[in-house]
Amino acid sequence: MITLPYECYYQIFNNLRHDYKSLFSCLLVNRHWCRIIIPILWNEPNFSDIRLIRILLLMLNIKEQALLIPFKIKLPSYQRPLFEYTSYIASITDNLYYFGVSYWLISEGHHNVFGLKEAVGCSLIAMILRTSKNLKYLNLCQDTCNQLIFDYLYENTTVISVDFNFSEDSDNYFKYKAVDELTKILYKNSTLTSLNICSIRLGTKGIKALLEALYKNNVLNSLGLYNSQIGVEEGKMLAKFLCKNTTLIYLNLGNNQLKIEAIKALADALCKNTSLKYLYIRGNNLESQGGKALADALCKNSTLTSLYLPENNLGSEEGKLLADALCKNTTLTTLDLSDNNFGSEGGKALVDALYKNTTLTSLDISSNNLGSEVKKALEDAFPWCNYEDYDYDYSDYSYDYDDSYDYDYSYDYDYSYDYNYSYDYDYSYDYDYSYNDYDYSYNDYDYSYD
Amino acid sequence: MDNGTSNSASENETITLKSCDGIEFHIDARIANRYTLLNNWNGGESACIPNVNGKVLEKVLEWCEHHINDPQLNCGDDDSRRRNTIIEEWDENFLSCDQDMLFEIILAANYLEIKPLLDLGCKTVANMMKSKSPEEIRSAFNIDNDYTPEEEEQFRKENEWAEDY
Repeated sequence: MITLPYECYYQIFNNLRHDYKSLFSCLLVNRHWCRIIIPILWNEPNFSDIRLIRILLLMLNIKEQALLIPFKIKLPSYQRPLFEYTSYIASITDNLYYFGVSYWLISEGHHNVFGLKEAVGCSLIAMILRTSKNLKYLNLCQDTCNQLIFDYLYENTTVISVDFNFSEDSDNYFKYKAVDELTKILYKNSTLTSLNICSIRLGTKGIKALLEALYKNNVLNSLGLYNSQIGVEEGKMLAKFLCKNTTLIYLNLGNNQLKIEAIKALADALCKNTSLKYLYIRGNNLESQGGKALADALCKNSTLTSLYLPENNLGSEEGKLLADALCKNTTLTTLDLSDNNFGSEGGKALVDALYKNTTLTSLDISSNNLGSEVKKALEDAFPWCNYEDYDYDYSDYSYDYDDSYDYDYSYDYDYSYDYNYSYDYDYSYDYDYSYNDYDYSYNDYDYSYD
Repeated sequence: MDNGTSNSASENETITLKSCDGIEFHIDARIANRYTLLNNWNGGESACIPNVNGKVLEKVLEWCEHHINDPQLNCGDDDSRRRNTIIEEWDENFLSCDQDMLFEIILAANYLEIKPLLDLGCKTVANMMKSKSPEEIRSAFNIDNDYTPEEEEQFRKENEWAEDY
């Protein structure tokens, strides 16, 4: 066989990136291929497999093993791995904790030990966070997060996106601790560009601390504070922040209680802010005055390209005001006004506005009781709009959103849970030529405790 | 430029390229315009391309000629193209040459920075490796196994999580 340069081999094997079985065969062909393939194979390993979990457990250092000492479990005792495999991992998916660790514990007969699953999950995530030179995406919840992980994250320089998904019943002490640690990280970190905090009551103090850190941080461009009980005071603080900040381009304030005063302040901020492009305000019960304030802001703002205001109980008058705003605004390309009770009057105003507006390319006005006349008009002239009336069962629907916040919390250990991993990975050619050249010299781990 | 036809060169203009073993090819100037490296060598009447012999250059130019009217893709499209392992029929026939030639084409496309052809060649080779055992791959590509049995066993064990997916 004619010898190809490294980059050609890389490209050949990269075609098989998601074909683990074929990559596995190729890596067993010879040493040369192995060295090229391992970084590709381990970029997104299959975290659900217990055989992977066993290998990962071999790589824990003393600190990470210490998390497991109280449980007196026996760790795998294979030979030390030939590669520093975990240095290539780019993202840790929820599968690690919910499947891999669970399966491993079941296979070891430890699945009923209280707190063990969390400890194993934390030790593995911490280890990957410490050893990966490529880790970009991190998903954490209370069960998969601890002080060691915060410590590593504080030192980390590769992670660009952190999602904190707290459940409603997360421990309060932990929540405050988490916000505290995150704040510290934001002061120091210059790689993290996206932070999503979900279902945690930040409170005035928490938001204040977070924003103070963000005033100093000029890297973070995406912030999500979904379902975080942002109220009037917190909303006002955010508005003040937006007036000054020039880095944030994406903000999600879905499922909060912004109320009229906060939304007015935010609307005013939108008149001044020149960086924010995507704003999500789902389910905040904005009602009439909030709708008016936002409609006014849309007349003045010329940066925002996407605005999501579904489930805000806006009503027909606000439909008209927003329609007027659409006649003036020339930057917005995506607008979601679904489920706002516009009725046929609001709908008519929006149809008229669509004749004047030339920038909008996506409009969702579904579930607004628009009536057959308005729907017909939309079907004829603007078939690209979504104007259907959906009959939702809200008890099932609450977390099934189609923006990028697709969290499905229904994984009740039944292993049928389908996580919609919505990151858009861009790995094209970010490979590293400096892969370990058969470096068999690893830190001396000590697995001697039982 | 969106496609080959909007290039500055007109249809009738030709350029002469010379392979490393001295064989000359008269090609449509639009081909040279499309690929930076071919263009860089265009010094006038004839340009010499080192490292690529006549036989391979002929194949490469045949491919370029066939694809002269393809839309040019931006770098941003790289990933989507690479992920799509479907190969057009003409290209498949074109690359169903002997293995040495296939690798020579990949080398030349890499050297001449003809990305779409490089992608195509790499995809073709990747497809040849799909669903084969290590031993089958070794014999298909005539590769020696330089692992010690212990080493091979350990790599198998450390990566066997990948075996079933």
